[in-house]
Amino acid sequence: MSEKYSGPDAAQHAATGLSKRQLTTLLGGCVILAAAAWIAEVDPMALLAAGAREQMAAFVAEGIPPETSREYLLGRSLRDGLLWAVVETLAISVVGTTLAVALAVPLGLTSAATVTHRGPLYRNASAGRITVGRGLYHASRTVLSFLRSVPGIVWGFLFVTAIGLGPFAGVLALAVHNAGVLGKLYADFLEDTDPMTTEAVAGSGATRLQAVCHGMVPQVTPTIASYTLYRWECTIRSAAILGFVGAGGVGYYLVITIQRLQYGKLSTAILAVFALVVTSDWLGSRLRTRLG
Amino acid sequence: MLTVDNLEKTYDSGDKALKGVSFEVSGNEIVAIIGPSGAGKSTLVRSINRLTEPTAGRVSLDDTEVTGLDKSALRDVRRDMGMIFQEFNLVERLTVMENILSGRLGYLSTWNAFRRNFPPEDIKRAREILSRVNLEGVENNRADELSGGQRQRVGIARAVIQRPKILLADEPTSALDPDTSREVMSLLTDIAHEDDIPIIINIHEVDLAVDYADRIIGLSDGEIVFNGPPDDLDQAARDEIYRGGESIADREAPSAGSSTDSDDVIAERGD
Ligand SMILES: Nc1ncnc2c1ncn2[C@@H]1O[C@H](COP(=O)(O)OP(=O)(O)OP(=O)(O)O)[C@@H](O)[C@H]1O
Ligand SMILES: [Mg+2]
Repeated sequence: MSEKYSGPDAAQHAATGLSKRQLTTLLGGCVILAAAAWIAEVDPMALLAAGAREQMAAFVAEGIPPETSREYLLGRSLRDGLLWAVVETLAISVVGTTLAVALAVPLGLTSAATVTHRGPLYRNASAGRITVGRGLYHASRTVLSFLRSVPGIVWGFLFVTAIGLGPFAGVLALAVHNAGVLGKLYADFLEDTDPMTTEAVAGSGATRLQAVCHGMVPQVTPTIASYTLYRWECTIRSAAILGFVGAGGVGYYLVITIQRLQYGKLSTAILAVFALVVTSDWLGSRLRTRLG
Repeated sequence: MLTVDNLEKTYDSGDKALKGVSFEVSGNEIVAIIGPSGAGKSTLVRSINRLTEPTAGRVSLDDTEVTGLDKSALRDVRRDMGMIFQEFNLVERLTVMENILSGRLGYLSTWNAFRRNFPPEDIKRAREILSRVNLEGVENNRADELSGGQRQRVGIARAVIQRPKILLADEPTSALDPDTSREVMSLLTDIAHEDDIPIIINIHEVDLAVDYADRIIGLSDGEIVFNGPPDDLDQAARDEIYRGGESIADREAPSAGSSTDSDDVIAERGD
């Protein structure tokens, strides 16, 4: 079993299958898992309790068949009904992701050390310029960390409080949170580019900005486009729960039907989210292979 | 004319890579810089366009003193110096044409450069160069689809489109097989003659230097120990150049190809 030779110990234990080190790792892992399970109050019996079984049976009984009335699906006006909410979720994710990219591009650039103060572009730079660049780098990295450490749903709550209920609050929530996620991704990719290529562009007399735009950025554009599309698939799922805090989309139907115990309507809403996620994943991966 | 005067480079690590190097290059001379690994060859050519910042001494191109120029003046003078790299340093995901044209970026306004909006004469010139370096037909291929020899020819084209007053090449053939190396060397000599510009080439293989260069500069431990025509590079001179180098095995490992000349050096050194 043990493939890597790590001293005579490993050779000796090769026959029994586990080295001392592997055993320690395994044991340590088990202890951590047990502690985590205790903290998370894991209780398998809760699943089998009479009350739980009753509830689940009720959900299955009432949830099948899913509610498909015209009124539930289409509502009474254009901006009403479950289907509209699905469309709204999709729209929130598209606009939210686009805005996120618009924020993430400048922030990603100012968060990449190779753009702000390090590497071949700064070989002839003054100490003052490098200090300024480093300051900018740390400041925008901090902004990015903050943006992404606040979950989208919390941003949604804050924007609903600030600008009122509705899908635009959801758009802003997704934009801000994902700007943090994408900005960091862009910055890390930019820092990983080949410095020699950037140097070659700068060496022909291009400005720093030109060397960034035409030496550094084209090295990562396909990767960045592909990750952005992947992120868009994730925002569909986030957008689906933004309705919990009144920030638009199908999440409103999920939370309202749960609260009112309307399981037939709930299963329709769940199926709608499922269809939306499957479709966007399919579309996203198709687009990504085309970027290849 | 390029003048290098008493150039020194001490790295932050304390390594003295250049210890007062002086020489001149003019006309359409092919100057090969040879020397053992760590002699300072790369440091020397990279100090000429200040990709590496020299610590003392002067570099001048015609009447411009390159050392001591401020940032924007340095950019201007860099347009006059084309550079060719061992690992080509192309933007792999851009096309051949886009890579070649990026040699003109230094001449564009910020906005036009941002949109890659090159004037028609640049594009026309790029097409001419494409045929000079024998890359017709692959101009729309991505650089990562090309062979090593083709990539280096893109690298050369990118430098040539700058209309430089001098070409600098840091081991342009080390990543190539012996036949391709010779093709690249003869392409470089053709360019020097047709465009009437000098070329400084760092090179590992002594026989390539002897075959293609008009003059050879031997660098050893940061100092010039030989400067003359290939015919003067006798055994004594070779011993002098390679005397202070690293272990021979290290030096010879990357160029196991056709470097018969340097093999002789090893034999005679008897290590
Ligand atoms: N960035 C650097 N930082 C510190 N020391 C360096 C750096 N680059 C080169 N050196 C040192 O400077 C000396 C000269 O290096 P240089 O790369 O110029 O030699 P070279 O002749 O080009 O060698 P090679 O044939 O291996 O390319 C070496 O001792 C090297 O270790
Ligand atoms: Mg070198």
